[in-house]
Amino acid sequence: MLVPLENIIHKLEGDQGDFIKPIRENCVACKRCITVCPVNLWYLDDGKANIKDDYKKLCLECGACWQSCEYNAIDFTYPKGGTGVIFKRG
Amino acid sequence: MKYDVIVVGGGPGGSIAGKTAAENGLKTIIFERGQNPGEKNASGVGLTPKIWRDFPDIMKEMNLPSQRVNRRCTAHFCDEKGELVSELSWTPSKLNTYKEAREFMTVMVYRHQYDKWLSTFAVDAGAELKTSTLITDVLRDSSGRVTGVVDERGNKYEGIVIAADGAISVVARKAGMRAKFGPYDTTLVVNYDFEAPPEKIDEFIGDNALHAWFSPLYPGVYNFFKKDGFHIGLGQWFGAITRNLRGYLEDCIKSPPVAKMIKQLNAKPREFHAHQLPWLQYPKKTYAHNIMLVGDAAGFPCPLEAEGIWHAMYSGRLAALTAKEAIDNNDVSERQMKKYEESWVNSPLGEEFAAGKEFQEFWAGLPFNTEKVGELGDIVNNSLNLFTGATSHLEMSQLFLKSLREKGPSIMPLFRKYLFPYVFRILEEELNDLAPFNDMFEKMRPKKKIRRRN
Repeated sequence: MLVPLENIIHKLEGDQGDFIKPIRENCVACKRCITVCPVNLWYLDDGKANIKDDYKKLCLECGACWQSCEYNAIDFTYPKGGTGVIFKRG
Repeated sequence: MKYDVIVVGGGPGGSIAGKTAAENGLKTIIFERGQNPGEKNASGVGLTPKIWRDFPDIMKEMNLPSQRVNRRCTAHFCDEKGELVSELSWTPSKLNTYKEAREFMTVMVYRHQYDKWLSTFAVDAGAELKTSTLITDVLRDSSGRVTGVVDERGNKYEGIVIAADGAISVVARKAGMRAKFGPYDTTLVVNYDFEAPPEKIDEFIGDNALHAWFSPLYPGVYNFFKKDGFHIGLGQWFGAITRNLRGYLEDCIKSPPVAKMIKQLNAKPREFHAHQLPWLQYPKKTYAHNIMLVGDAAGFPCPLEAEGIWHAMYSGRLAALTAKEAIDNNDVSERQMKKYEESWVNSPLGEEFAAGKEFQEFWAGLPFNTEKVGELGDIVNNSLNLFTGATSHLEMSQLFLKSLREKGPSIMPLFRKYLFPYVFRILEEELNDLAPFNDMFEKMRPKKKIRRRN
């Protein structure tokens, strides 16, 4: 890490809603989500993929976890309109 | 609520679709989930001359604070330790058929400025722009056909749907057009934005503002300079990711030549981004009853030339024109919407995919292949070694040929597999035009063997 990510990831105010949900019964612990997440939000919890409780602080809404999961074990949508990540220099 | 056209997504594709629809007298609404267009969007962001060619009235007005005109592209080839081995640099070619393409390669900007600016053209044309609103579903009639969209508060909007909502298109998913892209249809891109004093960038970079770094240490890295900062990032197809991409990117940033550049510019990390960027061999179906997909939602980008924005704008315009025809004919059937696909297939956009499969396989197989890219760098460097004073030109030529012979068995199959199919696919019949060169070479060959000292 070059600098702490929380210093260079910016969020809009407001409740984002629960936009990523692990579906434990479908998970086969292949760890693809753990490999791909650019901000390391995933971990194995009792043999199943789980996302950190405070994922909304760093999640970039790239959907890499959902895209890479071949077992339909991750539900992904976007945060509520007007909330979530803001790219000031995207 | 009833509209003629509902555009989902306020990026470049959505804004041009909205502008075109409104200009054609259609009642148009654009939905954007961010508080402002562009705030959710990240990319390398090099606007190519094609945008000026195809949208001259808009682009002649562009004057954004972050923009930097780029007139040179530089590729750096580095070894397995990340040390610089060789470089290639080029400028816009006189071969190009229009003025802008002879004058610059790209204009670099930030998306929060560019996308927001573009959206003003849609609003000025009469489109309604509804920000901070997430579209979560499609609306269907009793027979299950898509008739509009639903927002997160349950509000319903009826009209022809133009989905400009990016790679993870909620609309395409909810409309049943695709579950998700395949592992070699879309890439994950990670990107650091660095800030640097504009005068330092002017001094050390100037208009040599598009850099690419290749090394066995990391998949190909792009490095684009704006007015007061730069993007440095890389992407990889999901199917090819074996290691966290941020790790690769940070290895590049810490490698000696990149670290030196950062130090020279007094640059500091300012923002970190990640997004998906589709790179398909060929787009899949881009229409259905009452619905069309444009831009990234359709899978149009070619990330290699930093491009996706032109594709989005171009397809957005074609989709809006198809919508106009559909309204005039009072027909939103799948057959009518197919005209959108026919129009992009037969346009410069369709031409982009003329060798889409071969092009994608070339880049995946060689420059983005960390196991093979080092050999490419060696070949470039060894060929340039002919022009140094290390020893006699004869010996250096022999050394180069010897290295080619030695590398041949490992590199030639790769060229045969990845490079030649692309070249042949692109050129096809034009290759016959090269036939006269064979005769010419034959005639140029000295008849007598040149005498050489032992």
